[in-house]
Amino acid sequence: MKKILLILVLFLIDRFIKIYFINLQLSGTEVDFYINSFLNFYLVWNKGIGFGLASMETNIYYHMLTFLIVIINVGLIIFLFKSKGFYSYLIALVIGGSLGNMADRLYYYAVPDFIDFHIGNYHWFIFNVADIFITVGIIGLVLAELINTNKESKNV
Amino acid sequence: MFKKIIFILILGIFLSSCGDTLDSVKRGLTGAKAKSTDEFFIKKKDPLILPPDFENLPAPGETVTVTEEVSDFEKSLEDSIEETSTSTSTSSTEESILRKIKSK
Repeated sequence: MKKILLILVLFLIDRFIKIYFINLQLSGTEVDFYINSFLNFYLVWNKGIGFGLASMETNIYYHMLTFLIVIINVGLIIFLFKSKGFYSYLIALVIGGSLGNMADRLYYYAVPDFIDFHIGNYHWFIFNVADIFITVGIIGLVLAELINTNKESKNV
Repeated sequence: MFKKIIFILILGIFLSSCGDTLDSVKRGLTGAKAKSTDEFFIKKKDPLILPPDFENLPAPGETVTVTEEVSDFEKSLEDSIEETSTSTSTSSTEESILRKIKSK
């Protein structure tokens, strides 16, 4: 139950922030804000997956990609109910963000990205709040995997 | 172990959706925003070109004989004005006014 609540909260946070920026853009304000020397808010739409990969104009490929992402999400949700402990919360974190991006893909046919992190003139890929949740979850899962393997190797 | 980690990372790439690569790289390399405002835009000077009748212009110190060409339309217009001025009969009121003006 806690995991589902976590997913719901993350999903709603992501939705709220995305809708806020989209509404700003729709009301005529160009979302291109300077926050500080490391951070800008600049709205772009991504039709592809992470790091702007597989972003294509053709509809058929887009729908295939979306279908694949839906399947991955269903698989993750099934995996969530099978997993236990802290590991399951990390999966919930990934699902929370992933559902947010999936909702945009289904509703807007693209994902709005607006956090433009940069050092000087070197810009990182523009991302959104859902990407932060997914990235934290993925890093956590990788670390958990590394720690588990270390423990297993010590026990042997 | 590594297989699992690679699988998790690929999963992350598929589920996340961070910005347009080309746009980000372009912004990174150029250091410029995609849409910049034109607040410091200065109008460019028009290129220097010769006037169309440059060949016909008089050289310095040259005496110019100006011949006015009167077109047929102008001639006919002048004629019609003259005709109207002669044809219009001067009324008595006009004559009286003219006399008064002349007397002054």
